[in-house]
Amino acid sequence: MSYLEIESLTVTYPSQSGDIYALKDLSLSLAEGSLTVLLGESGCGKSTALNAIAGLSTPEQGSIRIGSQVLFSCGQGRPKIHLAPNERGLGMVFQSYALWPHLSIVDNVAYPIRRKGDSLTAVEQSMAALMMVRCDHLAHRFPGELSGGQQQRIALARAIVGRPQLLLFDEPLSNLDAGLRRSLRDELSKLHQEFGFTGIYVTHDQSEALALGTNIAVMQDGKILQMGSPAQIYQSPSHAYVAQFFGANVIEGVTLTGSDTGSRIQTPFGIFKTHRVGLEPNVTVSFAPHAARIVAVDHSSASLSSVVYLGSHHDYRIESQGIEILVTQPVGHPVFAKGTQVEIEVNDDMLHIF
Amino acid sequence: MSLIQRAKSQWAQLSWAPLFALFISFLVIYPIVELIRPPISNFWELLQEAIEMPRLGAILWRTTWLACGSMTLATLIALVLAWCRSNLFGRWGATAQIVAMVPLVIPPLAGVTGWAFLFSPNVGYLNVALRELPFFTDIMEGPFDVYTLPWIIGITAIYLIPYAFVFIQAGLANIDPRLEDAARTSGSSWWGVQCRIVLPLLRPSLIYGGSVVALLALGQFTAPLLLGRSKGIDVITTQLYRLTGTTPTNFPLAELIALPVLLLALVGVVVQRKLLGNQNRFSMASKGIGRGRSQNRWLLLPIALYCFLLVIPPLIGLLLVAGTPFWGAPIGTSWEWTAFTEVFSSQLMKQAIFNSLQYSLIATCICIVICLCTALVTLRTTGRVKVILDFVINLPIAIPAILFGMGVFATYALGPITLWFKSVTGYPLYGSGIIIILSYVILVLPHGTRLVMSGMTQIDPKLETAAMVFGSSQTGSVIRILVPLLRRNLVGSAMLMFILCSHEFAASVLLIGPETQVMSTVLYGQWDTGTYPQVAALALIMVAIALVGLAVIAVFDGDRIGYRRKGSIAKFFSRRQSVELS
Repeated sequence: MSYLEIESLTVTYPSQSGDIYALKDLSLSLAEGSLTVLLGESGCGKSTALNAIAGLSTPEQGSIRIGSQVLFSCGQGRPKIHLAPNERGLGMVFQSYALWPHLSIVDNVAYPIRRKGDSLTAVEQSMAALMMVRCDHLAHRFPGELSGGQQQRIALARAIVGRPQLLLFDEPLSNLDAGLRRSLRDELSKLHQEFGFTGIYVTHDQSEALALGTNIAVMQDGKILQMGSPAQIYQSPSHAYVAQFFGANVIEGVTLTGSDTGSRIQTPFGIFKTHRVGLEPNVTVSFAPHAARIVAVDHSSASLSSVVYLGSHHDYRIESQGIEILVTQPVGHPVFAKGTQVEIEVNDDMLHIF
Repeated sequence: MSLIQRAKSQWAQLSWAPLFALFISFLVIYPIVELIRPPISNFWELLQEAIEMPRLGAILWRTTWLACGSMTLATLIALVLAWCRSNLFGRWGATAQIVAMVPLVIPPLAGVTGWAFLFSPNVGYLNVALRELPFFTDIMEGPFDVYTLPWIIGITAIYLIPYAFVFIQAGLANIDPRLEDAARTSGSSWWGVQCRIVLPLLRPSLIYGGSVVALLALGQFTAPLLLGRSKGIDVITTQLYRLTGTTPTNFPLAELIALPVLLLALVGVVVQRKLLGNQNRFSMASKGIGRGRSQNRWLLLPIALYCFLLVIPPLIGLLLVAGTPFWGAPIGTSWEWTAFTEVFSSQLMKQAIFNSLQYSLIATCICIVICLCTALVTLRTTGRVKVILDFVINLPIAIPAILFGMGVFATYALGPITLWFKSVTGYPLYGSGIIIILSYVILVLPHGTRLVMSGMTQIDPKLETAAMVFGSSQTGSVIRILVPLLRRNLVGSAMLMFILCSHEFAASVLLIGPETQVMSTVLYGQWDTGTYPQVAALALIMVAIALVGLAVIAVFDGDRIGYRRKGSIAKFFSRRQSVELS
């Protein structure tokens, strides 16, 4: 049985041109100990979903359940239940850290414990949590005196100190610079492996999603497009949008012939062969930048519009009929000059057809 | 060096800044010096005289009550209003903001007389109406008596609410709503969040706003004078007026009594400046995205109560008296314009209205230039000049207006400057419009400057630096870039100062001559002689002038050029939506 169960959650916002759906019939179930990443562009509804789970906003309908405890339910014959945020027993890490500036670090971390009525061991427990994020030496400072990375560690300690049944992360790393982001991401991943908390992590950064998630749910327009393990999502995207989101090239093509042994697809960048049969006449194909090979061909409509050397590999931008794609070739492959007329080849198993 | 620091250093040498600061300091501080000098010279004799003054203890006691009582009331009401306002957003939030600020533009004289018309024990309209109720049938007076200390405190508080509101609302707007979300998910109930997070974070704003309001309350003059006089309820300011504005005058004694008030005000401003510099601990880790997510209409209830119970009633009182032949005439008879025609046919009152408009306009024009220069120096330069100017410009808000009136009187009507002026022009300075304009300039400067400064902090100094890089002189960049960007703040600031000037009473009453009467002093004269319909008519004319000022602001707010309008309202909505959806 799944641990967190969300059923047909719907959230709308009124606007001048009718209601806008922020979440449309969103359903999601999580296993205990998993860290699920909600991934999508800004405006896709991922933060709305998080706020709804935390109880900070009230959905129109749907239900949210952790174990046997119903946090929210409404609409379609369900009993009306809406637990206040403080009755849900969750922990949350905010993008803006949201540390209370008038309380010292240890008081910030002890806050959830004290609200549970456990004042005696509050300091002891919060010191233990601070130790976990290696910030115990900052206990008596104030949030305003800390750097962004330290503040986010404290926010993490505050979220885990009360041993919540579910941890929510609202783009916790996006206010930090790139180096810090990577190191905190790795720490977070280690913490998860060590303590095995159940969490939902919202981000728009696909590398963060791949590195952290045991599951990834890609969202668009208030719906989940695809959900699966990072490898599943990356290697076999179910939608062109998902492929594009992870940096793949997405182009239109026309199916030339379909035989029992395979098909050929005409694209502006060459003809791709595939073993699949029974394709539509017009298809969309996608492939990762490193999955393609460049071949110099005279009289091709595609040509190299830029070549960038990046140490371990070359980035080639290839332009044809107003469309541009990116292909990377490891150092050691033949190097082409800008302006060369080329075609590309993609292995069948790396090619996705929608 | 950060970009902002670099941009600031571009301005660090505003060559005129020291001279300008010197000029402003002279303008503000010289009258204070003239106020302090005489009592120092024969301090002990005057002290003896003051101690022997009858009722001194009672006066000090009542002044303390007035300051503390109206400060507490005003701060509490402002806290509720500001809290409701910051939890509302969009149209309703903006409406709440405007409603809360309304008492600022109601002339205190109009407000006080309006309340008196309603709650005077004998003929106050609401008292008369209340006596019709079965509860009160057997009493001949009351049930309320506006001529008592609690009413004076209460009415004073109403006109201080906007000042407290400004500080508290700014404090609330600075609190990141995510801090409240964090406390909710950490196990606090809604009330717990308000008590443990919001109120503690608001503490600096509450202390700061409260102290400003207490200083203002200390200097309140209108309500005690008009309501307390008949029963001898004197406070320091009315006692000062007794000693300087009515014969026989005793200027030195008044100046001695003024000393402790002055000292308190100076200490107050110094402490405030110190507190402002020491708020780092309370600076939010992140800038909030703006509060107010609940569109709970119940939050409008306190705002509406405030509007209908505190703001509108005195205006109704004025309308009732202005439209009837005499105060106490039965209501229900037709509206009469007699009071207004009398006002406009009286040479004295016509002259007073003209004078008020003229002096206010000239003072406003002078002030707006000073405001812009002050904002430039305090926000775009570094160093000592900036600190001094910032301190000096804020003094007049803390020092009671009647003290400034006395100071200006001592400086320009008695001192060496007036002798020099008379030898040059042949006219005495006292009794001319010049010293009234001068006192207006000093008194409204802090109000106007604050508005301009708050606008200028929103403008990136790099915009001006860019203009200089592309060939503008320093002055050119101010005129072509800063002034157009600031124009809404400049217009708002000018209109606010104009309104405040046209209402000014405490200083005017000491400085007017027979030819230089202004609206407020004539109104007080009519109140003293008991021609109440004309009092009401004049008060309504003052309100109308304030409304015209507000209309000008409104017109400039709905700017035709458009980029500002889009920038504020449309962006506000789109930003909120994108925040909620992401």
